[in-house]
Amino acid sequence: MMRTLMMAPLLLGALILQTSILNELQVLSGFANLTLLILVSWSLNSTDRYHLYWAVFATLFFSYISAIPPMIPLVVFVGSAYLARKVARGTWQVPVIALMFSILIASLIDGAVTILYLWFQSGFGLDILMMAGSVFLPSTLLNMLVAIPVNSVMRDFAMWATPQADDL
Amino acid sequence: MKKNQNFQPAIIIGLSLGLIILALSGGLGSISISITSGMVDAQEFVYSRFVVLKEFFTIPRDVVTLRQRNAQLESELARLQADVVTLQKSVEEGEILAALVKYSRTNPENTFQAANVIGRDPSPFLRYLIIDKGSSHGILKGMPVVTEQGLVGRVDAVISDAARVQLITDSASVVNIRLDKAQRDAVLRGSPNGDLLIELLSQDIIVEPGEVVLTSGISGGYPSDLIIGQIINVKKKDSDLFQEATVQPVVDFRNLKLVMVIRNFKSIDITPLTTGQ
Repeated sequence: MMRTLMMAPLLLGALILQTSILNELQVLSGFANLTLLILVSWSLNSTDRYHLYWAVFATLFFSYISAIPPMIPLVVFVGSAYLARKVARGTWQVPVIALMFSILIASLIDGAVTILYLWFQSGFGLDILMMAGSVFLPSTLLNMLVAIPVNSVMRDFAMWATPQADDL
Repeated sequence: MKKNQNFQPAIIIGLSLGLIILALSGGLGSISISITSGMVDAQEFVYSRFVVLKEFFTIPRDVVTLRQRNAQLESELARLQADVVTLQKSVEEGEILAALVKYSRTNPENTFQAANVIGRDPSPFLRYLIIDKGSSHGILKGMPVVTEQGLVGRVDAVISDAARVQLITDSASVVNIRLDKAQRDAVLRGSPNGDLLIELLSQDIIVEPGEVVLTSGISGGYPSDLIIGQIINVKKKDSDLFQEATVQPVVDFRNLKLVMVIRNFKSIDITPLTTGQ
């Protein structure tokens, strides 16, 4: 489907929004990860078989801008997209719960993988509880709040791009 | 009958003259007041009804005119408000630029490249800035980044038209510092929540809140004597080998818009020396 190629500018736009606007809207030191939310919403709402490729595509651009090693967003994005599709297939009758559950799991993967990496990088010197309290928890909360409007937009987009989305 | 009619004009003229004479002489005072007040009331009644009628017919036309005028003024107001915002932004940028120029003049030994902040790292766990100047403007990896207030960080990665700057508040950032009053060296680390912590500070050093923290220049990562901030809190336990202190940075990292890259400073990479240990 050619329409699914619109995911490319959508992901790039999301990344630009994330680096320029969303990271100014902080709660403590955390902010929403729009790229992750779009990937999860796409995996939940579309019937696109190549959703994992979009996760790899997002990883390429994310790691190009971010100072974080590419392996971290790769694990986070691919893992989150894969789990979101599994959740969508298992709990299709309750989409809101599926969305919240997927976002929670995706945020947990993001936080856990990044905190572990930074902890190893610092020689086990970082205060993990402080990181969890001031960055991970506020980011997760914001992810769950922003997920609702993002999912609405992505659902419409998925129905336009992959018309069989209702059959999921 | 005809005889009476002949007298009528004379009677009317006589009455009129009499009334005029009485009025002029003030003899009709109370009567004329009651008559004129009645006339004024009647006049007022008629005029007010006329105005109501006039408005009834003319207001619809005025509403259309007023609406057009209102729309015109609203668009004018919106344009002026946009102008005000643009001008305020220009003034703000001008003030920042003036401060940066002043700073660069007071530090003639350095060559500066001003750059706009255009973004931040997409991960909330890292503290990096993205600036709009890159290798095509002479910026290289490792160059220190400052504002007129103090040290911001250093360039971490460069492409032709942009660069990524690691802030000193990033958890992986390490800056060798000197305490201005105590004249002792220590190490400053960032943290994920943006705090700056001084580590490896010997227990025998007397450190007090308010002490100024500067770069020491040791290890060649940053030039010496750049202001970082002030100590706000000291943690000292007799059981520990070193004491710790928290530093309040002079730079407001959340509101950075313009920064300066020190172009004539070449950082020394001591990684080969440290990895062999």
